[in-house]
Amino acid sequence: MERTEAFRPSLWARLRARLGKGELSPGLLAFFLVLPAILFLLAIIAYPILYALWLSLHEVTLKGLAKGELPFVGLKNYSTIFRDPVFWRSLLHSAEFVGTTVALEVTLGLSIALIINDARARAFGTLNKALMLLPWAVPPIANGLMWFYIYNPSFGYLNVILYKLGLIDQFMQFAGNPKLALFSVVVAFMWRVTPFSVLLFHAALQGIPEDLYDAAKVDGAGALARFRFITFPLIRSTLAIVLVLRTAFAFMVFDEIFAITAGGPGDRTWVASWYTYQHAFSYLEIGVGAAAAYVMALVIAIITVTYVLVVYRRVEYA
Amino acid sequence: MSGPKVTRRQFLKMAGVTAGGLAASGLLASCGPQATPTPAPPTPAPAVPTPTPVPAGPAWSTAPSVAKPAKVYWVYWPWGKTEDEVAAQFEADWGLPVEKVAEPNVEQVYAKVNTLYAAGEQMDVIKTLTPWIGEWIDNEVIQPLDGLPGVDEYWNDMNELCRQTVKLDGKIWGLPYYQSFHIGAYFQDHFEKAGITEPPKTYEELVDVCLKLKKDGICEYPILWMAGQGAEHLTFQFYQLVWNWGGTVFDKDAKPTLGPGSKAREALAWWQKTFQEWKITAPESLELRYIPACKAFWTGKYAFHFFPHHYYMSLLNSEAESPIKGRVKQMMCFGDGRTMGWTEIFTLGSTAKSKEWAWMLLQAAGGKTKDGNYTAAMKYGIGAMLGSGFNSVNRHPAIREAWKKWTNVDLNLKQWEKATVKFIVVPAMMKPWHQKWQDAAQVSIANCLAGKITADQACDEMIAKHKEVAG
Amino acid sequence: MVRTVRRRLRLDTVAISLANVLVTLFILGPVFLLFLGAIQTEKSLVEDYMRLIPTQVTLQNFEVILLGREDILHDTGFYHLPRIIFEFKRVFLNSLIIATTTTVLNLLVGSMAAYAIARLRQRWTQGFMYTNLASRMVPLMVLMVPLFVTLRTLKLLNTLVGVIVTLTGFLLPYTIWILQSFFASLPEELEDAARIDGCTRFGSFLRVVLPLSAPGMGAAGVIVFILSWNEFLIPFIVTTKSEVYPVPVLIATLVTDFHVYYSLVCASILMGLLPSVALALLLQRYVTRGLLAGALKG
Repeated sequence: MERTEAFRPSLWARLRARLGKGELSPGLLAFFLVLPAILFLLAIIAYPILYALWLSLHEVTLKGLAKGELPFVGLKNYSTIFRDPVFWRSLLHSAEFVGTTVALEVTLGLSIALIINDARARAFGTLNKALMLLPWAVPPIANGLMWFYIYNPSFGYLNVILYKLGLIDQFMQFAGNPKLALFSVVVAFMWRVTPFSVLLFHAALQGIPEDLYDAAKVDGAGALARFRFITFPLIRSTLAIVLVLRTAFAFMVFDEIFAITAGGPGDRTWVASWYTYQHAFSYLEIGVGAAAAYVMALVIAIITVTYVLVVYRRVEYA
Repeated sequence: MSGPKVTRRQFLKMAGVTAGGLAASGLLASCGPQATPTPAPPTPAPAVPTPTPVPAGPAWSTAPSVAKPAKVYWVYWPWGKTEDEVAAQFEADWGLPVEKVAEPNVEQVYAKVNTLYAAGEQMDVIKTLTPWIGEWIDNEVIQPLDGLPGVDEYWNDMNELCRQTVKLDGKIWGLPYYQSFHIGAYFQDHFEKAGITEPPKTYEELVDVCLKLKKDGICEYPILWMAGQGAEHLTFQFYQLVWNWGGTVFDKDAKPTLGPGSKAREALAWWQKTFQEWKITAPESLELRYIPACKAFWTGKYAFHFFPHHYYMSLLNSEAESPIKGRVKQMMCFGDGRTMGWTEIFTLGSTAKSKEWAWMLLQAAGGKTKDGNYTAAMKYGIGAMLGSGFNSVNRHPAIREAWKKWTNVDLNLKQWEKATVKFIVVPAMMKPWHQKWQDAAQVSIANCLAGKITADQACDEMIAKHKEVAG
Repeated sequence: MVRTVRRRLRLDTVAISLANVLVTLFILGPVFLLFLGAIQTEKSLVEDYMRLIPTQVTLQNFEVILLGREDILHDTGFYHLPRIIFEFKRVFLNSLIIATTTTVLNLLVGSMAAYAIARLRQRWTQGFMYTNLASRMVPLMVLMVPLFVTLRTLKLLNTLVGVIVTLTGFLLPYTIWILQSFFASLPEELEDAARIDGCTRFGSFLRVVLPLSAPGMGAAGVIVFILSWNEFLIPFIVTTKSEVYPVPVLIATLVTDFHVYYSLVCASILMGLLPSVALALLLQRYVTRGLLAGALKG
């Protein structure tokens, strides 16, 4: 089509025409759309992270806050933490907790996913699928208190059930028993979070075409072989993701500790988050608490990055 | 509950007055069980003349001549609806609104008060546990009742356990909230089954009875101690045990008396044996405190219960709720019956806007309301078996009538007379280092009872800890 | 031949069915035990503890909590009640306000940001997406200490506003993450068609993308509602007065040895977890989709 221009519109006219259309450039639009989110994230996440760093380098007490006297103490809070045997014990307990939880969560999650996915008991599987989100939806603190009640050493239901099943002949202590306290919290925590893993594994299992199994069956492969050569390789990436996410979240456990053991007996269930909480909000050594929280964040970052590098990459190349 | 609660560590922060202050007040002068109290001489006149004129009528029914503040603030942990009712009565009597700052758990009130004080908030009356008093006096969180009208009359009605608590450094620091002491109780059904007619009177008899109950298959673990982690539980039980055994944990100069051959060591070794050797103690004792211990006893599995608050008899024998009501009997403490007692008090906040009007609220809470009755104390006593710091309340027929359904009132009164205030039983309690020591001592004692270390080792650890914190 | 095959199958089926039953017990068991505790009186709870299924049931605990019937609990046990239970209704309302507002804010702010990441691919939006992902990994403890100090200075402690703003900021990364994966999965042709018809980009966002992604918004909405209802630590640290407590903080106050009333506590926990559980079970398709989108990358 020929262009028969009488004149070229001025810059102003062009701009007005552009604005008149009411269209912002994609860049500008994106900026305005993202702006509220960025403000929230800056205020609630970015700024506190920096402020926490600042707090961890100062001696912060409630009195000091009221008077505005917060002396700079450099890395003193960090050295206090690193010289505190309770800190190292807390990290150890955290490692114990995370290790046990993730191992159980993955095995149990995968097993349950396999069970409810099985075509041979479709009705049961559907029912369980419908109920699966119940534990996940329970507020963590409510979950903790519920299990605390079940663990009661004098008349709690767990004792009653085990006794009636003939598994014990004397009522036992769970949350108050130094040998079982951490595992008591593990069970409570696991009950609540396993559905999440089940969900992920179930979705992954659904993605495996039936004919692969049929072909294998025709070739004479048993259940175990089918799992080893078909199921497992095809869900490995999901497995990796589950491991990363659940490890990081298990490290941050707090509500269940609060409700079931409060760090006890003694300091048997002091975990990283409990250590931070006690120093910041119980002893009101806010600087030390901030420093401990930072160390905790660092550990999580290391875990996440390690996983992403080692496990995820290996899966990608698999 | 397995371990110390969130704010257990608040106890770490509790400092105390110096021993000098205590000695000066004559607290450490008397020792041993208390006889029926005699009226003490009135407190000396204050050095500075009071600016407010002394009102004409009784202090609890005469309005101060100064202006009312907008509100008065009452910081407390609730005990039923008593505080609600007393506050409502106060508001109706004086037309002065009461702002109720109620913390659900006793352990949280300490942190709450410190926070409010740091923020400069108004606090008129504070329900106080005595371990907190020392630090609060030091930090000027609370103020004494100097120059306030009617203090003498309250003083005259107080019993010894109360006087020894409220008078520090020559000043009076509050009015009583309640009084309590350590006792033991037994479940009669098991006695009947075993053909036992009398409760044991010595530690040896106790062990014999327990072994018999165990052998006859009546009780697997006859004794339930209230021995969870926490000052009022494991530590109080230890102090009480040693005191009743005839020994002490600390001497008058707050030095530990836990050396080899000491009664304290002996008592601890005996205590450990009940857990480990004779196995007559329920292992869950180390986990139980306050209510969970009482309600565990409700199951009827145990025969003996030792606990620090005599008023739990009202829960153990609760007419509406206890499955074993009426069959839990109080027994006298062994030997000469000595036991440890204490008074918790209401104090006057130093951030009160008007001292005179704060005193009016304090009287309503811990003394007499406008109508001249010890309203709160009677409510606490009749409803929940809390002892009072006032003789006229404790001897009141309504109290006696109310307590009849929960315990043998005469036996209870007899035991009460043998109660010594805890600051005399454990002079170290008011020391600034006591909390830190106690935290570590608890761990040693718990480890000993759990069989991890011997009584000798535990005592040595406690001695070493004392050296570390007290210097 | 056919008979043996069928018998073998039956054994298999029985085993799997049994396994499924165990799974059902696993899921429902603990909450059922809670229910058993909630429908008994304190006395019958302790008295006949060896008997799992009670002989006498009562609704009195719910009456006490919901109708404030203190007269049902008489006698000395009354003095050892956690009195906060009588404020349950108000606390429940607080939770409702907090969860609803947080959800609405999250969907509003999150959808805009998610659209920008998914559709308006600028050089920096990818970076923003990774920052977003990283912020999900920040432990709450690192944030709580400075937030407590900041809110204290801003006098936002003990306000619902303080709780809502903090909660929104904390859950936003997750919302954005879920929504951007939904937006990215929508076919671009629909938006292109709208733009050819003269729609602005923002207009196509409002009129094409949002309506189409209703399931995605629903998924994110349900999950955020449940997460904000269940959140404990943030309101616990940021509030000290029971007037602004949400349900989880009330439950935390019941964690004590000082004033304990087991049957009432069971009833409170049960009522506290009911909304989240009901929502999750009724809208599980949305929740599942949201969780999967949030967990798997793209």
